[in-house]
Amino acid sequence: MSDTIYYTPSIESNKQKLQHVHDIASLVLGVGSGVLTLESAYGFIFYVVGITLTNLLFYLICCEGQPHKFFKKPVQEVFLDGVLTNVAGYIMMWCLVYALVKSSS
Amino acid sequence: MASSLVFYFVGVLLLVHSGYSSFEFHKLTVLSHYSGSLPVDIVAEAVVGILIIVIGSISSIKNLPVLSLKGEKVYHKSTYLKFIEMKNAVTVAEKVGLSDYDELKNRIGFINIVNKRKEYTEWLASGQTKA
Repeated sequence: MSDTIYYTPSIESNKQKLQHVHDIASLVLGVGSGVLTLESAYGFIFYVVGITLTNLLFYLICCEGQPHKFFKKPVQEVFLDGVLTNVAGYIMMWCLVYALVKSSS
Repeated sequence: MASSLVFYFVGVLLLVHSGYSSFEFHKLTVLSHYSGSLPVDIVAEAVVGILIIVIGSISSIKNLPVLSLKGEKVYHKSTYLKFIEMKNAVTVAEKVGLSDYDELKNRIGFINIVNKRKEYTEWLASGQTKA
């Protein structure tokens, strides 16, 4: 399969769509962990579990059972790439919402 | 796109409500010296809100139909993502008669419309004199 010709705009478009889902998921997970007032390692466990579930949903719904037609390396690109880069956004929302919720006490 | 907006709206509403509930709960725990964990309904509301927003974000990345030169809507074969193999990826572009690079090839912004118009009127006039 090394001589398969790929169409670059489609690859870019798929990556952008996955990135869009990751952006929203990480921010919303941050809001959620702030509301639940999670602290220290629990927050990061919550993030890893949440983003993996999101990726699983994306993999099951969006790839329509044939992930190799949409990604060169489906498992790596969907489940591993972008998990660490979105931690920053997650922590931002986590801190903000945590501070708002706990501000009275 | 409209359905994803509904998802976002409902999800944000749930998250805001659970956030306010959590805020009130923490305020009350301080005032009444109650030491207990967050009630289950607030946790459930927050989790459901997260789930709804994530589903909304997935439904917002659907492929939009492409308008062909004849004015017909051409749909992609896949609902969410685009095929990356060349043989599958170019089918829609072939149906429409355009490619992603047409914007670079044609440079519509650089067309001198006055000049084109002049050429066209001259061509019209030359046709009339011949006929």
